[in-house]
Amino acid sequence: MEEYAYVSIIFFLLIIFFLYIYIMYEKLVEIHNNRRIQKYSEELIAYIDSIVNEILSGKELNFSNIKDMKVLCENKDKRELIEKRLLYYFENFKGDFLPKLIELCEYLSIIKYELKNLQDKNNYKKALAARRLGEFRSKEALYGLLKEFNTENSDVKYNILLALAKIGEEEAFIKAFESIDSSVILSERSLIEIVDSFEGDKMKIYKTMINSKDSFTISIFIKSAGNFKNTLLSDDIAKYLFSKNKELRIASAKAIGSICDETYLNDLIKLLEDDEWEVRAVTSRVLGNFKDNKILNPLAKALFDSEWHVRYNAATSILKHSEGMSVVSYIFNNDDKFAKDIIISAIENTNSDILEIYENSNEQDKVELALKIKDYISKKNEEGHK
Amino acid sequence: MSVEFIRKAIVNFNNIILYYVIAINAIYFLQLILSSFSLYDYIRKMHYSDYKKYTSSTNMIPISILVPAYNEENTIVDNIESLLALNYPLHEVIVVNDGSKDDTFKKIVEAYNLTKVNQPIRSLIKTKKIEGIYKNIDIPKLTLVNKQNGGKADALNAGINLSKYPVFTSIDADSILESDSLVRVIMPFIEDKQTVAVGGIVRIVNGSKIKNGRVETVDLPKNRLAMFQIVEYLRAFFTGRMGWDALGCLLIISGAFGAFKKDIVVKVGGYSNTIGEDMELVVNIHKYLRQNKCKYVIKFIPDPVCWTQAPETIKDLRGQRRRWQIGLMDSLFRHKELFLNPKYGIIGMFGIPYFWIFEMLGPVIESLGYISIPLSYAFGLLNLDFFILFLISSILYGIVLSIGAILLEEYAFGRYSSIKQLLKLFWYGILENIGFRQMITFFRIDAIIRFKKFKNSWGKIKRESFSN
Repeated sequence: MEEYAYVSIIFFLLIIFFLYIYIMYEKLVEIHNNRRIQKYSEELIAYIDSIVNEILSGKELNFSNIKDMKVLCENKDKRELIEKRLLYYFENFKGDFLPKLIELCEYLSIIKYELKNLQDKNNYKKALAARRLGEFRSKEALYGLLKEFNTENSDVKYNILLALAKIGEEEAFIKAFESIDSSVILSERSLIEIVDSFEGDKMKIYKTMINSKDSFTISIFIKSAGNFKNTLLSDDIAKYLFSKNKELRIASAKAIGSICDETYLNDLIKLLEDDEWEVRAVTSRVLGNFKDNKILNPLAKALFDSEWHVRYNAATSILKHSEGMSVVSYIFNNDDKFAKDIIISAIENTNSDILEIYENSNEQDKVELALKIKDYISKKNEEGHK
Repeated sequence: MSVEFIRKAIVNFNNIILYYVIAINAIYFLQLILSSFSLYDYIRKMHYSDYKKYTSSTNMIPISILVPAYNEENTIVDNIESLLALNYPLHEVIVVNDGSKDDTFKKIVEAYNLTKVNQPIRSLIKTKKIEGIYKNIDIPKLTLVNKQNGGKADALNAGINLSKYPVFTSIDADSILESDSLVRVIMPFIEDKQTVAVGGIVRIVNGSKIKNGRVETVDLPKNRLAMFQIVEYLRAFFTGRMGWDALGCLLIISGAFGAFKKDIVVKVGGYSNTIGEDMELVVNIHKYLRQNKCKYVIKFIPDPVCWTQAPETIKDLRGQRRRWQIGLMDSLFRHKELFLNPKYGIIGMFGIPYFWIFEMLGPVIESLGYISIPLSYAFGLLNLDFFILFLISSILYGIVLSIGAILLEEYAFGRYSSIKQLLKLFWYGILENIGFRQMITFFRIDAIIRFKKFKNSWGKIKRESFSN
C-alpha cells in the first residue's frame, strides 16, 4: 500500500509541477501570439481598409491591385485577419457595394476555404464556417450549405439556415425550411429570427411558406410576417383566423393585428368569442392597434371574460383607443366592481396619464370621471389597509 | 464489547474510508476532465454565438427578474440599479420585500419614488399575504411587492405570481449581474426548445471595484476567508457544475442566479418552503419531467456572470454553510424515492446517490475519519508511515483539483489575468487544504446536528454596500 501512496504523491506532484509550467507557458505563448497578430494587424488592416474603401466609394475591383492580398491569404494567421476585417464590413455596412465585396471574397478563395471547413467533422468548425459563409453572402456557398443541412446538430442547422437567409436565395431557403418540421430542436423564436433576417424577396417566401402543408412552418412564417407588416400578405394570413389549429389562430390574429389591416377587423372581433382563452387574450390585445370605434363594444364585453388575461388586455386596449374613456365612463357609472377593478389595474400598469389629463380638463364630465375613479382607488386602498 | 471487536471495527472502517476517498477522488477527476471538454466546446461555440444579435431582437424571450429581499437595505438599491440597466430587449424587475425588519422597503420606495397600485394578482402558487404592489409610471420595468414574511421560497413564489413573462430568473438581492448575463443565460432557451432551466456562474465580488451597480475592475480580496472561497467557487462551478452538466444530471442551480421556464415551475408547485429552495426546485423539475417522460434539458453555462459577496467573517461563513448543508439534506430527505431508482435515469442512479453518499454524508465520514486516527493509534493499528503518505497524497490531490479549476478559468475567461493574481490563487489553492477545508467540514457537521432547528430560516449574512 505504501508504494501506491508514494506513486500517487509523485504523480500528483508531477501534475502540479506540470500545471505550473503549463500556465507559465500558456501566458508566454499568449503574449507572443498577441504580439505577432498585432504586428500583422498593423501591416494588414490599413491595406484591407484601403481596398474596401475603394469598393465603398463605388470604384470597380482592380484585380491586379489585390493579387498581393490573395498571396497573403495563404498564411493562416493573415487569412484569419483578412476574414475578420471583411466580416466587420459585412456586419456593419449595407449598400450597393455588397456584390463587389462578395466578389472580393470569392476572388480571395475565402468562400472555398470556408466551404472546406463546412465539410469538417467537427461541428464547431462547421457551425462557424456556416456563420461566416452567411456573412459573406456568396451564392457559391448555396450548394455546400444545402448539402450539409441534414445534420442533427442544432448549432450547425441554425447557422446554415441563417446563412441561407442572408444569402437571400428564395428557392434554397424554401427548400431548407421545407425539410424541417416541429421535431426540430431549435426554438420557434430562433426560427422566426432567421426568417426575419431573410435578405432576398421576402414576399415570395412568405407567400410560398404560409401556404405550405406543415402547420408548424406556416405558424413560423405567419409570425414573421407579422413582424414584416405588409398588407399584401393579409389575405394569405387571414385564411387561418378560423383554422382548427389553435396555434395558427393565435399566430394569424397576432399578425393581422400587427399589420393592422382593417379588412379583417370583423373577423378579429369574432375571435373574441373563441373557445380557447389564449386566442381571446391575443385578440383582445391586438384589437388595441385599431382605431375604429366598432372595437369598443366587443372589448367592453370582454371585460367580463372568465379569464384574467382577456379582461386585462381588453381594458388595456380600451384605454389605448381615443374614444375608450367613454367605455370607462359607462363602467364607472354602473356597479360592476369586477370591470372597474380591471380598468384601474390597466390604468396603473400601462403608464397611462389619462387621469391627470381628465382631472385638468376644462370639460366638467371629464373632471368628474377622473375624480370618481380616483375616489374608487382611494376606497379600494383603504379596504386593503383594513 | 471485546477489544478484538473494536479493533476489527476500526480496521474495517479504515478500509471503508480508504475506498471512499478513492471513489470520491475518481469522481472529482472525472468531473475535471469532463469540464475541460465542456469548456473547450463552450469557448468554440462562443465564436459563432448569435447572442449579440438577440440583444436587440424582438424575437428574444422576454424575462422577469425576481429579486427576493429580506433585510437587504445595504445593497438593494445598487442591485436594482444594475438590473434596470441590463442589456436586454424586454425585461421586468420584480423585487419582493419579504417582511424585512430593516429599511429595505423604505429605501426602495424612496429611491425609485414608487406609489401603491391596484394590481390584481394571479394566484398560480399559494403565498403569504401580499400587502401592496408599488410602481412608478416612469420606471415601468420595476415592480415592488411588499408581503408578509414567509421565507425566500415564498417571496420567489409571490414574484412568479406577479411576473408577466414566460421565463423568469431569480437573483439574490446582494448580487450583481453583468450587462450581457441575461442574454447569455437565455440563449440556451432560444437554441434548444427542450431547455427548461439554466444556471449561470456565481463569482465572488469581494476585492473588485463596483461603480454604478457594475463591476468595473475584477480583483482579488485582501480578506483571507474570501480568498479561500474564490478558489472554492472556481472549483465548485468550473469542475462541479460543468461536470454535472456534461453528465446530464445537474441537480443544483444556484439561488443567486438561474433562469427557469415559468410554466414548468408552476406545474411543480413553485419553490418549496425550505432553506435549500434552489436545489429543491431543480430536483422537483427533474422528477416531474422524468415521471411524465418528457424530454428536457437543464443546463449550466459558465459565463453569464453573477457577482456576489462572500462572507468575510467566520460567523457569517458558518451561517452560510449551515444553510447549504441543511438545504441539501432537506431536499434529499424529501426525495428519498429517487435514490438508486432506475425510473429516474442518471438522476436516480448517479446524481442523487452521489449527493447522499459524498455530499451529505461526506462531513460525517470525514469527521469519523479524524476520530479513527487517534483510536487506530491507541490500538496500535495505525501504520504511521502509510497514514502520513496517504495524508500528503490526499492534500496534493486536493491541490491538483484546485489548480485545475483555476487553470480552466484562466484558459476560458481569464478574469484574473495577471500572473500575480494567478500565483495568489494558486497559493490559496494549496493553503485551503490546511485548515479551511477542515473548518468547513466542522460547519457542515454543526448543520447536520442542528438540522431541525434551522430548517426553515432565511439565514442572513451581513452585507456591505456595493458602493463601499
